[in-house]
Amino acid sequence: MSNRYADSPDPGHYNHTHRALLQAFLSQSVMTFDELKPVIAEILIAHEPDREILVNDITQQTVTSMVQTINAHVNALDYEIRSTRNQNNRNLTYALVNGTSDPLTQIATSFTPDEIAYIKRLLDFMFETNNTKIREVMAVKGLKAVQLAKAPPRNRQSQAAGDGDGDEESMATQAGPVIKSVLPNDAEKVLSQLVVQGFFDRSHAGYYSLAPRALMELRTYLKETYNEPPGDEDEDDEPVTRIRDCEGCREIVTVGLRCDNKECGVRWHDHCAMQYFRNQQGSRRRCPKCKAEWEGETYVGEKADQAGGRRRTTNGQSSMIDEDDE
Amino acid sequence: MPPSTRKRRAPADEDPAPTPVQRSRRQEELPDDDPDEIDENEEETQGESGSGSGSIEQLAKGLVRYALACEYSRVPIKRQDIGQKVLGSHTRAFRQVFDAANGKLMDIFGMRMVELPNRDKVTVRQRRAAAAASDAPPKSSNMWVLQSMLPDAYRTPNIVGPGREPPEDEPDTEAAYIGLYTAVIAFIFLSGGTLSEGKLDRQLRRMNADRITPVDSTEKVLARMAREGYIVKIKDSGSGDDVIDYMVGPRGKVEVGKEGAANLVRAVYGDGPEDLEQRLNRSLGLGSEDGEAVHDEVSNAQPAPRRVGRPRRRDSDDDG
Repeated sequence: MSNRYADSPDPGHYNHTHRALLQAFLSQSVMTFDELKPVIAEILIAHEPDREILVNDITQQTVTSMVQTINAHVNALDYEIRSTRNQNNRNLTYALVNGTSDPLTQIATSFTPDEIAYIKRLLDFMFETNNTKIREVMAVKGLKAVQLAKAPPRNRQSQAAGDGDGDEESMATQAGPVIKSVLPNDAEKVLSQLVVQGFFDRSHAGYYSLAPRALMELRTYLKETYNEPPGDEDEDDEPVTRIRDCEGCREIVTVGLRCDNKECGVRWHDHCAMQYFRNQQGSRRRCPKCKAEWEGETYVGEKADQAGGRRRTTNGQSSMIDEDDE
Repeated sequence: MPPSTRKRRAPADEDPAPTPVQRSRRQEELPDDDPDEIDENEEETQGESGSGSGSIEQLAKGLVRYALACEYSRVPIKRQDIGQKVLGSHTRAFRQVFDAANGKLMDIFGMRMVELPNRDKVTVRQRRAAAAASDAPPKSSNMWVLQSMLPDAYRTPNIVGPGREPPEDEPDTEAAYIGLYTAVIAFIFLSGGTLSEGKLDRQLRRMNADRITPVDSTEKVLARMAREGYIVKIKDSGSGDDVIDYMVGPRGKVEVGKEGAANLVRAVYGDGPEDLEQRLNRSLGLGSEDGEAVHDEVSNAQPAPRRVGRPRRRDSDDDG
């Protein structure tokens, strides 16, 4: 093979720079824009040693264009480089994502079946147990996470949803017949691996939540697993939507804000809400959907688990004003 | 512990052409270059090449995804598994699909499936051990691993390093593991290709890694290295006592190789003794029992100080 294999400075042309970036994604799996910059700079220098390229020459535009070119090639293989903003710090984050159907097993190829079942228990806890109408925590505290290492007596962790519809049965089947507990030590290793691999974040307060990579890879899976579609024949109660998208950017919200009206489905990322309401000059801030007054103090994420997680407001004074409609 | 690899997306068990079809096993054991097989391929696949899930194109895609999945968990790509998980009822199209997949891998990822060497069977003892292990068919190993074919300039630690840097309070076990297996492989190569358990233990003790490492207990780490094919553990009970030796495994030869071992030594010695290169050549060259020209580029390769990483190196001699 030659060093000039399909070589061209034209950014739209697929060449070694794209292959190298793809290999970087294979070994790093997830990179923020800031982490990408030096990598791409180095790749471009390798490509054209005579050109001087500084890390700060790498712009958003450079990245987008390379990613687009790569995606045009890997899409046929059901891979895609996706990007999303980290909900906590807004860092733009990129990951090479496998587009096929069963992403959980994909995450888990290096875990044993029992460990996969443990990861499912963690997800179930985050998105069912710890994600109620009143408190949408969507995270699990360190100690609890280790306790979940113990498998429930019967193989029922997937039924925590309670309604046991077909979806969950198939999950239980997938998990295999007998699920054994994971030793606490091994559970800690699994958790640490998930953090290292960029699937989980661990907060200062010790909560595990889904990191951008997991949100990108599991986007569809989470909704399919935890949101119950409306109009299920047998159910008398309303459809349950446990995973909601941001009113602003339309990405999943696991850390952010929600409408103070607990019946309302509006969710925001902090930043997206800020942007939206900043533009609402003059008028009072209201939820775009239910028109309830917006105070921005009802949280989604671990904040919802702290200090009651509810709006710390006043005893109805605000709602009085609300009705006054000055 | 399962291998803690850093990237995993495509699972080993995912397959676009699922039904594992148990058609004649013997077919899979045919050597690659069996002329009959190729003829049959053409007959059988002619009518299918354009049709949906059975087309060469689709099967090749499946193989690419399977190969990437294997690489994530450091499992070799095995011919038999390709037959079951990718080809299904199309086992006869193996050659075509394999070549097409390698083409895609090269074109899109700049990587190729490179065949693993067979295990060494040099002494009686090793032959016996190999017979006991019996996973290597006599001729071709029928196993491959992915390897980067990009020019060296693109293979810097920043571009294809050991993986994601962990958050501050987490140990970088991936990097540690790569460092450890590279060191162990270097010890073995430098001892002429075989290293007794006692000597390895002594070396590890010098690094304070004889009992516990950042990855796991030494025992488990060595077991993982053996499982993933970096090293081979050979037990000989012929003389009454158990004698345990270590040799470099197939993946170790391809991924690290003598060149990797030499680079580790260069990195450790830095501007060491003047005759370092000569000594390296002698230690590594004379030690070569296998005679396989997989990594003999040491002698005239420029000592490009490549750092110890998980080397996805290009084989200079392209023997895949």
